[in-house]
Amino acid sequence: MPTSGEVQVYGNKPGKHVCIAYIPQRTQVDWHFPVNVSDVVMMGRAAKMKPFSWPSHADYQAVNQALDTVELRNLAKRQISELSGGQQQRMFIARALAQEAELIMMDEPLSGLDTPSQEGVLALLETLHQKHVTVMVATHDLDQASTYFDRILLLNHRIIGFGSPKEVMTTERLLKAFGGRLKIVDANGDTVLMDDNCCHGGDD
Amino acid sequence: MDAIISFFVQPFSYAFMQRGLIAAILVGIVCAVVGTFIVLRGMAFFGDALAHTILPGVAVGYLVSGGARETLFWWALGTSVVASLGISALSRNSKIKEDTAIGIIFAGMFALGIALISTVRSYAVDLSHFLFGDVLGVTSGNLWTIGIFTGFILLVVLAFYKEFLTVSFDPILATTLRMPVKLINTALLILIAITVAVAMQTVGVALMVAMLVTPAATASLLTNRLPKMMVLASIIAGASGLVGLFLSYYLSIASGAAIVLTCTVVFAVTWALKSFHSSQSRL
Repeated sequence: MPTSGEVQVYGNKPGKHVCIAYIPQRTQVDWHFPVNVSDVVMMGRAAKMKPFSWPSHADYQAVNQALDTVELRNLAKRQISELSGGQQQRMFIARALAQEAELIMMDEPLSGLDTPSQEGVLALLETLHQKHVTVMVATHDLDQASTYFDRILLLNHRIIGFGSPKEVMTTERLLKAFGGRLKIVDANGDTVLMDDNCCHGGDD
Repeated sequence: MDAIISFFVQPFSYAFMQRGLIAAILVGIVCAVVGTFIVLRGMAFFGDALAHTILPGVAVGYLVSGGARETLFWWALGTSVVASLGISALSRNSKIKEDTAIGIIFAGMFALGIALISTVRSYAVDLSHFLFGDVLGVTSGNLWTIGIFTGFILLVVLAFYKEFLTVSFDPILATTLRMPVKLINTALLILIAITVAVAMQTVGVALMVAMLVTPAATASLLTNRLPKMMVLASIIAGASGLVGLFLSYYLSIASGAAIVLTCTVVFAVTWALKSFHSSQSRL
């Protein structure tokens, strides 16, 4: 199995482009850091600003535009610990937009959110799609993955399938990906797949 | 009325008190601004250790110059820059946990400093000046050095504000934005090292961590914005310098200790009011 390699992004070699945004898991953030929503989004502009300089009018405009897109403009002056889980997630998406990212990577963005917040974030991902921003999301939720995303990459240490949900989500492939954890139940002729993901170790 | 005015003015009719006041305020401001990052990044133990680690350097300078104080700043500066880079390199590469590594170096270097100073006959007096500061012994030459380096540190923080902020809040973002994260972290360590050297004469190595964290921590209770936190911490530290010198003059207590105690009382009162306020608003 190869252990090293090179990734090209839109045909660019490593170190060429600042177009990738990474959105951290909410547990990795110090929510009591003395910054408000607009400060965090402004951090996305840091690479566009010259050294020794402070934000320009254009930078503030980019921040406000990003906040409008994620519908957080009214909370711009809030301290970040005062946001709900879904709002926190949307703030980081706004930061990625302010960064002018063309590829946004998210690690379990919906975990721990209630259903309305999850739907808010998913709707926002659809907006990003229309703005020609590619979003890569790591998730354990098979149902959400096949409903909301164009393409699925099924991974279990190695690539098991890559393509449209229809192509990838076959019983055979899912068994390969989830191994013994996946229960297959035959309910009135429909095959129901159940992922027993409650207590797995940290190897995925 | 005249009595009240003279109560406030009289201590500062002495030149050494004036110099002490300017030094205490400048050191308070620079410690508060740099201390904001120390508090936010959880580096209080590193700051405390670094302050103690400079003692052998200061001691060597003291022995070499035969007891003269003028060159001690440069010895302190050299030692603290080397020590800050050394501590961070060691704690990164070692199998030993970071705080353990810091503890070992800090106690060892501190003991070496005490051993070196103890070879001099007037050891007790001199050692207490290094440990607890001698703000009333500040010369006008010292004052220039303190002023220039304070200005330098504040300029660097202002010039690289967005870099220091981004690296402190979200190092992964800083990396994806292709910021030189390692360089920025090293620059911050060097700023802390310079601050420690600047503050040595005012509060001494043993009390320095209080100047680095207490005003910044107090300010963090009062505001949710980083620039405001820096300004508030500076005001608290500067005012504590003034009040501390008054207390030192009228109660005849050690000036470094008086300044630190004032900072501590300000923190305690702020914390108590804040807790009372939030328990009230929860009812």
